[in-house]
Amino acid sequence: MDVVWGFAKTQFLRHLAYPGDFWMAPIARLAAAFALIGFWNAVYAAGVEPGGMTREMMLAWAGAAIVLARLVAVDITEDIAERIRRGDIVFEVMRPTDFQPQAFGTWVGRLAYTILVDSLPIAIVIWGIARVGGPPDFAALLLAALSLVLSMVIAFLLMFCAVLIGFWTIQVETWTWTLGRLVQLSAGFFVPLWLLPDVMREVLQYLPFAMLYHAPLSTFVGRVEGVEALRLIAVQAAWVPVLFLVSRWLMGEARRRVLIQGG
Amino acid sequence: MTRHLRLYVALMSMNLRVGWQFPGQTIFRVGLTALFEGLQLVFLWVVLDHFGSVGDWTFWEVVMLLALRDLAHIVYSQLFWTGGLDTAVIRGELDKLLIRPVNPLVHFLADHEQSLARLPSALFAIALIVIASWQIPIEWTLLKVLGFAIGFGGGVLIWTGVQLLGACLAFWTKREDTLTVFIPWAADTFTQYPLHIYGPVVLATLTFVIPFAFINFVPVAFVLDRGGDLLFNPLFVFVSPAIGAFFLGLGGMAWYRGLRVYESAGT
Repeated sequence: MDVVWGFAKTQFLRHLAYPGDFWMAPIARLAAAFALIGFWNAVYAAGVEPGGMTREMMLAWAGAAIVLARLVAVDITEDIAERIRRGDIVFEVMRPTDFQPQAFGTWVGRLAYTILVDSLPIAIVIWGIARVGGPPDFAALLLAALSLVLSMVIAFLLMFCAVLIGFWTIQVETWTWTLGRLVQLSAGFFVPLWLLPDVMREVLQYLPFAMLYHAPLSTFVGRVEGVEALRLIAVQAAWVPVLFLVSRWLMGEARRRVLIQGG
Repeated sequence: MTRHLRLYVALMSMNLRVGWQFPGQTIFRVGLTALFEGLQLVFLWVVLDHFGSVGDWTFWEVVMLLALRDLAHIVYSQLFWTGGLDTAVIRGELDKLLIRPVNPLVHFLADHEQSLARLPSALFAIALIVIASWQIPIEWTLLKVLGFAIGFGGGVLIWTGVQLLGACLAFWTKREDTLTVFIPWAADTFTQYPLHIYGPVVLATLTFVIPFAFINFVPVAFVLDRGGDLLFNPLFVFVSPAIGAFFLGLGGMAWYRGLRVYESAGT
């Protein structure tokens, strides 16, 4: 835990060192939120409500998706990719502390910064000032919060696994890019999976990518409630140990490879 | 000028070879890019199949908008990509550009990652423009072809100029992720669809302040005879290269001013 806290604190302070970024980030994100909400407003002018998604639900979905986008964006790649290419990642792996908590701590530190400068201000504008719709009741909010935590853990584990593949291929960007595109297209960020044909939705909604947006947003806007919401969260919870075990296995193999080959 | 052009081609060809160090992954990315482009289209079709149109624009009209935007972005990324300046400033890596006998701005614009994976995306975008113009259908005239081509060229210049301007802020703020990543990302989100659906304020902002409307909305509205959705006569598409040149000029000025405040790493 000390390792996670130490790395998190360093990263948080490191990011605070750049005040220009501090002020610009929320403005740019708000513009994106405005674009998404504007788009859905325009298409809902047609008067149809496909996939059980009402106009209010869709606007809430768009607003929440923008806030969520930074929370599930795990930016641990840049430093690690370069170090794998140079070979000096071996120094990280050789440390007496595990590499995974180091990476987790680094991300938590950046996440804390993101919440402070990005998610919180945008959430205040979207729900406090613009009065975009939110969860139908307090229970939905609680379930959405639980689902959000799980989605962030899954996001970290997915990205960590993608980065670890770089220990074999040297090039990390290919895998993180692939993961990014998969999430962008199939997780329900822009087009909720509820709008897709049944067959496509059935396939996509249980994949780990859907756990990043589809699960928390469906709960948040009230598209799933009660048992259905709990079932979706249970699927999310089931992915956490699976991905954790995959990451540990990959980590063990990567460590052995790096230590034998000397980076 | 000829010397700079030769150097430009040499640096690009070198970076292409660097990218080809991992041929398996490059081919993998080429395949996946095509797959993702196709999927993106399926999702657009799903949405518009439910709602019929967006802002009165049909599926193929929106496809044309998207394809032109993608093509302009691909050309910008391949020829003038301006990312990474903040990292170079923070790490003092800009020093290497300053001590070489080449104009540092030309060197910076030419020397960046090149990927063959962009090629299928570009071909896909061109194919979409052709198919869309056949499906809509568009009655092409010489004026429309000229307007479309000039609008596209201007769009590439505008994209480069705005990006360069944003990137140069790194000389003062050190980190400029927001301007070079998030603002284009936000603009990207807007330019996927006809801009008039967002209302007059957004349309005016993206036309007169950050002129992303000229990248795809104005040229496509021009060839579709949808001048009513613009804030001015669609013939203004021919002004697009001048706007691009203006923003490139601003970016160049910011670059040279920025170099004056750049602090070397001293290594």
